[in-house]
Amino acid sequence: MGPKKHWQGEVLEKSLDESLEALYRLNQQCAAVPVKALAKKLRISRAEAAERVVRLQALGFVTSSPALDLALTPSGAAWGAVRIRRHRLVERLLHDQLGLPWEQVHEEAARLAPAISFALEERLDAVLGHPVACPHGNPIPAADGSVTVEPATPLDRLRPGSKGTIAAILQEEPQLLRYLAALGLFPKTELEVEEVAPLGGPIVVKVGASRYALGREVASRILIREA
Amino acid sequence: MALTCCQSVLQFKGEVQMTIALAGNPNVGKSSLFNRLTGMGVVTANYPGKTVDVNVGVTHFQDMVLGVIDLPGTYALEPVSEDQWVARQALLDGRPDAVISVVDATNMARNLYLTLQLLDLGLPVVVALNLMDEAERQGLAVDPALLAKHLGVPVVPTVAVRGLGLDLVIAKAVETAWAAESAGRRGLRYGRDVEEQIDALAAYLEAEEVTPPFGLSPRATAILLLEGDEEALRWAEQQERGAAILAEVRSAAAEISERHGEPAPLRLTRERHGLAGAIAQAAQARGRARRSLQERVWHLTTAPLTGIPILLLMLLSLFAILFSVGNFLSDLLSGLWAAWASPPIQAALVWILGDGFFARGLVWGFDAGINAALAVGIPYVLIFYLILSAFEDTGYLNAAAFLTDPLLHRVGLHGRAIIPLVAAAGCNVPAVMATRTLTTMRERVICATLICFVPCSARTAVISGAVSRYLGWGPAIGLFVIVAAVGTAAGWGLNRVVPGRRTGLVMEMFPFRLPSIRNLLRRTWFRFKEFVFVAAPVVVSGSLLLGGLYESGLMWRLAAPLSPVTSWWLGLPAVTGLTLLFGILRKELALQLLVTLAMVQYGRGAADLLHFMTMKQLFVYALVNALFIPCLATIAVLGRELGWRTTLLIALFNIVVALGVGGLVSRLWMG
Repeated sequence: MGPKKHWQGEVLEKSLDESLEALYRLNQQCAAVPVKALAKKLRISRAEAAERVVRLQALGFVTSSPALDLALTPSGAAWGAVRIRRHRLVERLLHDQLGLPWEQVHEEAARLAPAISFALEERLDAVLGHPVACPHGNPIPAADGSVTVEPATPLDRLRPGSKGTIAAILQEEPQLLRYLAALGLFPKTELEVEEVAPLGGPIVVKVGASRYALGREVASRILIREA
Repeated sequence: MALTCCQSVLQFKGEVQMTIALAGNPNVGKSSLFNRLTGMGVVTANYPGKTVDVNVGVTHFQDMVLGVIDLPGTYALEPVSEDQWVARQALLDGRPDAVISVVDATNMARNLYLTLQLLDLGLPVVVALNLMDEAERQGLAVDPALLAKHLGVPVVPTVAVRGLGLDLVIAKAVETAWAAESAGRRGLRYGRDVEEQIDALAAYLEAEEVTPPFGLSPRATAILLLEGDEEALRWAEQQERGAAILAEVRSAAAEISERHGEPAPLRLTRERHGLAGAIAQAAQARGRARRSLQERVWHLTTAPLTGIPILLLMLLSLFAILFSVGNFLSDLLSGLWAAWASPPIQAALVWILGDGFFARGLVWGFDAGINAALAVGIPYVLIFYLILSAFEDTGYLNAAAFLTDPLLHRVGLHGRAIIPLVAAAGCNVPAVMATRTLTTMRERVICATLICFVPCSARTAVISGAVSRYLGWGPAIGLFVIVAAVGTAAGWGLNRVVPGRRTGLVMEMFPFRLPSIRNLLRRTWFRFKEFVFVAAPVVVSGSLLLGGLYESGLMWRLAAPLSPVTSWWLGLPAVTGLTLLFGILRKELALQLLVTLAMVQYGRGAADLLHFMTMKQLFVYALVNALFIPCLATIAVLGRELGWRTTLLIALFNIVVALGVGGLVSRLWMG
């Protein structure tokens, strides 16, 4: 049975629920999440975030290191994966079947997904043809919570000289996504980091015969599988 | 002249036999091509509310008059950024008879993406394969004939900066435009299953007997719909059977995304990139890619260790040239004006109108006013634009922007804003005009406001004439520190207040190129001409107004209502309020007039300012003058670049901040 029993019958408080989902998303980008990052993502105070973490720890979803870096326990990860799975399935439903544009599906799905039951989730998955990615290209975890993605690093953490392939672009912002795509920056493209400006400045990447300077906030959304 | 784009393009189409649009990526020599083709009668058009301009000009081919539209440089035509929106709109509304797609021969794979998009829209395209000399130097053997075969459209090799191949491009464009009227062209094909969906959707649209938007073909419309183009989707919605069409689009898109595991728009983009890459590869035999000299220089300018010293050197020399040569020319022009133009103008006005109120009032406008326009704008604008154009054309601007981005990021700006901000220390006028290189209105407003806080050379002259002369260097430097702190704080605050989102930086880093002198001069001339037409009338009429106030004696009566501000809040002698007002005409006038008016009121001894002002008063006076409302010429260009409402807000902001800081310093000053 594994982690399934944790989430199937139980209902978590909304604040803990969204904290787990946020932690799951952050955990995908790096193994240890500082409390500060969680607070920022949820737009709550650091104290509030710490308080939620304590409660999640008590439920056995989260472990915390002495440096206050957070990681999900297997059951926490499973719960988070289910949340993401439902969110992304709903996104697909809204985009594919109801024809909602990209920029709207994320917010609508955030409202709808918490109301989805296990049975409805399975039905959705079947009707949509077991999709593997959300409309933005991010993977949909399988029903057992497993995600088949290889480890990827955000572009802004690479050093000059490193090479890799774009694995995914983590962004629910279609304007930017399409602009980057027109430049040739989309999943499966190879690129090389040439220069990193000091003090949190932009990053120069070489793609084909072109060079682009990308701001840190743009670069942090581009996940790279290093070669 | 600013016409709306639609108007000028349509007006144009009436006057010329044929219109040709130039489309291409940024920095591929499109403007060089445009400049070579068209004469001096270039009109700049823009869409209301947009910051990106479209240039329109005329060229002659055999006995025909052709209209040439220079679209903004873009990577694609999806309306996801302002420049792409403008380029697309000009193509769709303007319906040019032919499009010259300017392609960089050294980077064909990326460049052909746009060409393919033009072809997808069913536009009659001719490719100008530009920078052939550069490609040769890099050891790239590009075969125009092979490229033409793969694309199915004429390809002409060109070197636009030297004018090579231009006649042939125009001839081919005219030929294509004629041919387009009769024969349908063979389209390029994407992957088979994607094509199936496009064809099916196009057939469906045809069967529905709808009229596609912008006179596009059913295929072009189908592609736009599958790409999720908002405008095409809106068009579909408005059709009688809109719901059915949209359902068809959705099912086709779902089919594509299911088969490829990614959304249809992304799949189409990938297919187009793939096709562009394949065609590029087929048409060029890449020799050993040498690490050229340019590349090495480029790395030197962007690697922080060497790049930052180079940047400082560049900015310092920009500032020094602007300051020294600009000041020299400014003094020279003022001197010449005083010696040769001023006496005859004064004599003529007095001779015609008699020595009275009107004559003296007009002397203010036509003597002092024109002199101000000459001395403030012209020397600085000319020199700065020459340097700015050189920075832009060589590609150094982007290298500088890359390095300074982290600092300017904190005040809501991107790295590109460094050039206007540094230039502002020479003269605010060209600096404000240079904000045009920034991409969003938000950045322009923030940058322009900050520029007005940068003390220009005239304000620096007041600071050195009043503060460093009487108080010494320490206080003068202190004053600059206060101004810098105020500017930074203003930027920090504006970043939080000005509406709109800070956009993420995505900027192409161009390889270094030698600029063409001809282009540099031409562009400088156009920008300069614009300045003369925009600023000169405002400066002259403002001077007339000030002259009227002064000569009628109303000026002195203003001293009383101003005194609460000057005497009570700032703690300055009443007469200084008037001089601050006159500083609007020319900032250094504030000091000259202060001395003059002081002598009128207190007698000759007042030439030494310390006789009637304390050190504190001098400091506050120079500080307020430095932060206060910018000069008339700056206001004129602010109005032109940002609109009068924004200009008014900026001016008010300046006044409030200047008085606020001035009053605070006056109260905190010890001793």
